[in-house]
Amino acid sequence: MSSAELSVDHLDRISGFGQSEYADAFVYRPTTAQEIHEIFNLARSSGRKVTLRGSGRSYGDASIGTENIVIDITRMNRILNWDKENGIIDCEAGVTIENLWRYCLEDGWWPPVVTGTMYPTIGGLLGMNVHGKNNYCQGTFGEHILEFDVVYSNGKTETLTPSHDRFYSVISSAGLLGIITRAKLQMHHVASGNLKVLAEAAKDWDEEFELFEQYEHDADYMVSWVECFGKGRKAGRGQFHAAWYPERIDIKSRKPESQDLPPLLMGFFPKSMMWKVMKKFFNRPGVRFINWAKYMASSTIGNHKIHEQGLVGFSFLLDYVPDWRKAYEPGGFIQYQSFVPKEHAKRVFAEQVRLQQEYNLESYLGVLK
Amino acid sequence: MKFKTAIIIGASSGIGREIVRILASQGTVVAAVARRKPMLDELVAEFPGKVLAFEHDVINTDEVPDLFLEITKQLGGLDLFVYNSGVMPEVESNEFSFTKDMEMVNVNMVGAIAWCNQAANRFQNTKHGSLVGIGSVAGDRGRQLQPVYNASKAFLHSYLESMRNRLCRYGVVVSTIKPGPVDTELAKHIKMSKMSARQAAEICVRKFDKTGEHYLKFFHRFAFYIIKRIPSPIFRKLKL
Repeated sequence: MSSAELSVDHLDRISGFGQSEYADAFVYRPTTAQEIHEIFNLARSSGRKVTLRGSGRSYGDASIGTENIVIDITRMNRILNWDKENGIIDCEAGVTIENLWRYCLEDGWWPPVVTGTMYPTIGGLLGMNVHGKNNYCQGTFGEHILEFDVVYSNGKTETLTPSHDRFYSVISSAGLLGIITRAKLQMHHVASGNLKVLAEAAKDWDEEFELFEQYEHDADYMVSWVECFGKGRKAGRGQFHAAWYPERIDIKSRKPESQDLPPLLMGFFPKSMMWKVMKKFFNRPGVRFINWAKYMASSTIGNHKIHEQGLVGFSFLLDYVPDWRKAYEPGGFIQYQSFVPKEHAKRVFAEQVRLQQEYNLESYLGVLK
Repeated sequence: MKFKTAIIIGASSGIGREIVRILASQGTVVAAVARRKPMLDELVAEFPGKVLAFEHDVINTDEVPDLFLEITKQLGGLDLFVYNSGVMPEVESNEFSFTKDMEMVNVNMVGAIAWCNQAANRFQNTKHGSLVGIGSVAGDRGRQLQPVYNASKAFLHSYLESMRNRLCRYGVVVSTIKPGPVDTELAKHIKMSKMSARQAAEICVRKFDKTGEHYLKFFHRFAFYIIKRIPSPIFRKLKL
């Protein structure tokens, strides 16, 4: 790759995951640490700032920078070593969660922490130090890393392990301290490719929080959908899910083809067209109706029951409907995430939802973790 | 505000200057590019923070790629590009001056290619933007007066039509605007009733996000619909 001068050929229009912010930027896709150095030099000589980007799955503007040089690491996507006895994988930072599970699940290993979509890269997961539906027992992604390589802007490359002071500083620094180019990750052992999933309808905020407290020391995953249109006694209603890794070995369910998400909805409707239907409902009355219908269904069909679901289907809800973001076009959407200490959580979340309702700006999708 | 950022080439006087003033008053950040720096500085003083001045003569085409990158960097993006530079030296009906003709070719054509190619390449990659060229009704027909001016504007119309056909698939707007006589320095030796530069600029700005060829007045569109269709044996006997 030649990166000696800034070229308009590298210009591209990029956006964050929410598509509410766009930027025109010079996108470079290096494949080696040496090429990253060259891009840093180019940034210095042309007086431009540098933005780091993986798969562009940060909701806001973290991975975009107008007129900046963007280093996109998605081409650094090689798996360098796989120790299937101990579940330790050594890979470049552009490897995605999808690459990981497709590679490791057959051997009985699953990423210890995953996001709601399977497309983020390891570099992005570490830069943002993401959490998943098991954050209460497994913590964030960075806690499962054994070592990583980082390239600093001064040209130095360093391998860091948890014993280094800088290890946890570089993780979650959004790439501001350096670019992570390789990481060694401890995967989580699973006997089956499925999860045992319990669904429980919660009729208000009190029930939501009681369910989380009830399963906190037992379940492997907990998540709840919150219906943001509910008022008064119905405020905070939703559907709680807890999930457990089964102990029974099930080789067949660990194969990628049994995990792949089905292309059809209810066996006949192509999911690739779903966003067009969703778009018709993406206004306040439409979403209010969908939320009401979903709550009604969750409180009657399958309530209090345990069913088996594939790890992929349970984990990657955001990939279930292809192109769902198009339903929010042309304005895109904004994601709010509030982290609130346990003792104040119920009051703060209830007040947030009440304020949304007061200004007629209810969230179309609410999630409690 | 339709456009957050814009570049106007040929911004020191006439229609270009008024375009800068209209856009800046609407909140657009405008890069005003022209030879005469003092006149640009007046615009900067009038709209502080909204107008950035760049001194440049469009015949210096070597400067264009670097200057274009520098301007887009300072603007923080680019939504609108207007090539407005144009000259029309007074040419007598029996005069054939190569010097005057080359000046028109360099400013009206070569400069346009140098700048519009940069803008087109950028818009093709960023998949949005408006590329605007200020042509002229003079380009619609080869008339007795101003052979090279007529030809240079006919070139611009044809060049921008090709750009439009290339870029429409990327969602880029390419707009050709064909003013008639306007009260500016360029047309100071024309003795006809003229539109004011401000009025012309106001109509131009409304056409910036509409792809296609535009006249400023319905009368021009109607008149040139007919003039374009006058058979050549008759046309050469007329004084048009």
